[in-house]
Amino acid sequence: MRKLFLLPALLLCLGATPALSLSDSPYLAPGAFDAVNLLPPPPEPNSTEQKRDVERVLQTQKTSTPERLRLAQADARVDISRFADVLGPNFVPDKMPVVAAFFRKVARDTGPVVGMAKDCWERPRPFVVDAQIHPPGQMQQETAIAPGTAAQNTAPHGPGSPCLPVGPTPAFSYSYPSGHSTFGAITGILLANMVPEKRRELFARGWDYGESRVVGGVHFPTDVESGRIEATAMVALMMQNAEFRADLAAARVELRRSLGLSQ
Amino acid sequence: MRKLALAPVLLLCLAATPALSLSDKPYITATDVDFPGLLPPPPAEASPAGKRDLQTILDLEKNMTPERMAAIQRDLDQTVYTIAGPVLGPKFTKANFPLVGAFIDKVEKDGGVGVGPIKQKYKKLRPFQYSKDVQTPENIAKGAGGPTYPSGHSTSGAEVALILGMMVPEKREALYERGWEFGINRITSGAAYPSDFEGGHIAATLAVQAMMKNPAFRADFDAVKAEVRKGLGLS
Repeated sequence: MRKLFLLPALLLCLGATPALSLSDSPYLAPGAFDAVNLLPPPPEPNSTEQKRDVERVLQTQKTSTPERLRLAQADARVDISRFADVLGPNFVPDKMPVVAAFFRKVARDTGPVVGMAKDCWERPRPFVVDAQIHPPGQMQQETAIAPGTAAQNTAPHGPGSPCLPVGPTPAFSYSYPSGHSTFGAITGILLANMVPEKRRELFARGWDYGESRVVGGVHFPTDVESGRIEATAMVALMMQNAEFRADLAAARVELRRSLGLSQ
Repeated sequence: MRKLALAPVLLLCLAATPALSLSDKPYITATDVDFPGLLPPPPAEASPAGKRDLQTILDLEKNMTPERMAAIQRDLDQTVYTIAGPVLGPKFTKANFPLVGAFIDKVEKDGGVGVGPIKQKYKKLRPFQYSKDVQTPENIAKGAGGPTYPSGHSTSGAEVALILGMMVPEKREALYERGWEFGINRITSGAAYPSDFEGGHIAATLAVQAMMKNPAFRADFDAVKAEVRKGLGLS
């Protein structure tokens, strides 16, 4: 059941986190997005497409300014507050309990799909494939899988599945599709829905958040494109869910009030 | 109403196209998916992403060869036979596989509820209309009159890859490679930007995802799949 308790006075008394709960049921039912059939397979090792992907990472790294490289490192943090560049200093998710809870729930419901798709194709990261690619700062280390992590491949690998046979657990998480790009695009689309006045800038920021992964040398351009395709397809599905739309509307009210925008 | 009249003997006598008709209901309508709300606005030409877009075209054009140009010209034909033919072989023609052509034409026509309004929403100029540095053959420029975003060719290439990839999983990877190349050829000829290409892929995925939920589409998909697999000698 959907519960929405707005009791600001009581909350002030208790000094507690808001007793405001979003829908309990998932916005996206498990398996609703048919990732393995709707995402293109990544380029195969040694193919022309793979070479083009490697070339584009090298080219992007070479032509990125120090400022752009710093942005890529800051964007490694998966946090909606990265969109404060566009929404301004009043966009403080910690002070927006509904907005924060809404995006946490979106991440929780969409995250497993990204993980499953990664496990389907098991593509190694650019810096694993080509020794000339060097992610700046901690970006490479941030993709490492902690030693001793139990191997847990969540993709379907049976007959008829386009997924590769399960390989050994890699040292770094799989490259394709890009989870950061998925997150950036989902967040950009949803924030643009709430703040259409900044639609163009919010989409651009969400897409640039994906580009940060290529700049950093931790993803191929095809990883990023598929992350965006996946994001868009998942938002399309969530939009068909009445509970999602109700929670989106509640988050919109809070966000617009916090930003001083008309309802 | 959906009609499925298979009368092979009669057909042989008439030497006609198969009397197997696709659904007359649309596979998708404008209210099924909020395409304008979900597709990103295209980058402005002067923005960093817009400049990157143009530079990619200029870099691709630098490596143009007569063979590549011939492939680009061949790909002006936006049918399933041109898109999937190089993967499915010389027998994959309209004469041998009439139904799949009508099916993909219907997918593209009905899927136009996605791409069409977005093209009109942004009315973005083609790369060759924006920059004199872009070299586009005259016949291609003449044929590319509508707005550039999203790319219709990239949408078609992705729709064919998505749908035929599910019908012929044995050739799935090659179908995607070819479907994506179909869009890249558009970029290389200066008729579309990389962001148009990506927008086309997103539009195609949203359209096919929605169509897969439509029983009329599913029924036609199954009939076409049977034609394709039988014709290719697959089980």
